[in-house]
Amino acid sequence: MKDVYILAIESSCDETSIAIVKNGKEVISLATSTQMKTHASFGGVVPEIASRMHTENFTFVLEECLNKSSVGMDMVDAIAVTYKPGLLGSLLVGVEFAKTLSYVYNKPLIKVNHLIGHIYANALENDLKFPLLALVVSGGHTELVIMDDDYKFKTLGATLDDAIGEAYDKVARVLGIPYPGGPGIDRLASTGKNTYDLPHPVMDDTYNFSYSGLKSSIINLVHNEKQRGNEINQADLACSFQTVAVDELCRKVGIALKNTGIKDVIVAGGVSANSYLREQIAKTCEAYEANLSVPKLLYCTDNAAMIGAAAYPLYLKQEFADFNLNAESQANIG
Amino acid sequence: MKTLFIDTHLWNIDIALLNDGKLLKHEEVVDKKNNSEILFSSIVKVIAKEELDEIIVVNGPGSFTGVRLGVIIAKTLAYTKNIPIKSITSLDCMAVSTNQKQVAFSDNNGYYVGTYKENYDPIEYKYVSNDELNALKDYSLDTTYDYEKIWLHCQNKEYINPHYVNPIYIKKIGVEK
Repeated sequence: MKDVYILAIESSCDETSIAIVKNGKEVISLATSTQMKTHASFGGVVPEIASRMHTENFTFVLEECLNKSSVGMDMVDAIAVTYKPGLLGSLLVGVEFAKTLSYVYNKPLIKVNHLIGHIYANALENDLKFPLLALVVSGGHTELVIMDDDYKFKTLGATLDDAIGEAYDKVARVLGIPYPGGPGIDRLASTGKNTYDLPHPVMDDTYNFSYSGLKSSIINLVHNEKQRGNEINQADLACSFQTVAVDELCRKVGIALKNTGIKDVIVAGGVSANSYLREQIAKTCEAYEANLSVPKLLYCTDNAAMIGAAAYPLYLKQEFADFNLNAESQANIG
Repeated sequence: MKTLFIDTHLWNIDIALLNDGKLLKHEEVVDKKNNSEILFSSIVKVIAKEELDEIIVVNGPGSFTGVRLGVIIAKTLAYTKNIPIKSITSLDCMAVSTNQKQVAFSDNNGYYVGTYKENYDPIEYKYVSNDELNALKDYSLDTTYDYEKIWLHCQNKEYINPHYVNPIYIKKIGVEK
């Protein structure tokens, strides 16, 4: 079969990213302009600033991606773009940019769900083997999903309140760790010990998660210790939080593996970059003799390569979008 | 000379094809409900099979999202197809079209105001409250465009590298205050 090259575009949050991906798995070229430093000065992503920077950056990022690529626009078969979920203003800039490329180069347009993009980041490593169990962990999502085939999703459970990444960000803020908080807690935790006795989220046998109680207990603990004039051991608290938060993810993955007999596990989303999670989930999979796939660190955070990977099955099914495509801020997997 | 004119600064759609400044084709949508769904198709409709010699895009001020989408499409068209591009502000379009030295338009919370010297050379763009606007003397709220006058005015402008065609916002956002 002829090779398929997809030019993919991602702008759902604070990264302007464009990639050319071959057959949904080989990254020919990837260019990303990150706004992290700008937003760090505000303590978090400012949606209006993010939209402005995407508008300023897109043609530069395209130029860089094409300059790095051995494949030119004439060989590209389709244009893929993230259209949900994310910051609406940022998504809209990417969607209109993608429509313009689709029109100018006369290539079909493919719309991609950002969360599914994170799942297919794993296809950039190895072919996905179905059925598989996907743990999706990010700033907006904490979900356990079974995939029976490409784009066939069945949600086992999800968070009942906060997403795990959201809890990381809030805890980081209380501990005074600068944005982005997740990697900061991960680093700090590796120097501490699990000494604080924190409440465990949903200790049941369902596949649901809950991080709001854990987050609140840490906010209260820090507040109370401050009032008493006691010092917090930041590294120990970060370690205690991370242990509870991640162990619960692994415990639920373990239950799912036991109940379903599935032998392939993938981890997806920004939190998949977390070193403790990568270590612990490997132990869980080993215990149930399951194969584990986690994306390369480069593909854990938002990037266009994963959008190109997720667009490939849609290209094979000829599922194309037209110029009426709109962006949506909210979405689930599937 | 064929010019594609793109204006989305009120989050309306105003797309025109000009031949030496004379209006050949026009797509206008005032209703703002589904504009992100129809904006691109409107532009494609106006371009049709024409070979464009230049693009003029209104780069604000006005609706942040509206301006951004007009600008990202215009600069990407210009960049990928090597079409020369210029930008003009919404306030300049009003001043040039109506021969006024001070023009203003509302965004429901306040007013964007442009003040001009001779030859529509801008002295200042600002965003003011209703009260501040009332304190100004002699301003025009007429938003009618005269495409030929706008095109003629743009004859004096240089083409810009498409990478650097960007919106102007004027109104401050929360983190800037």
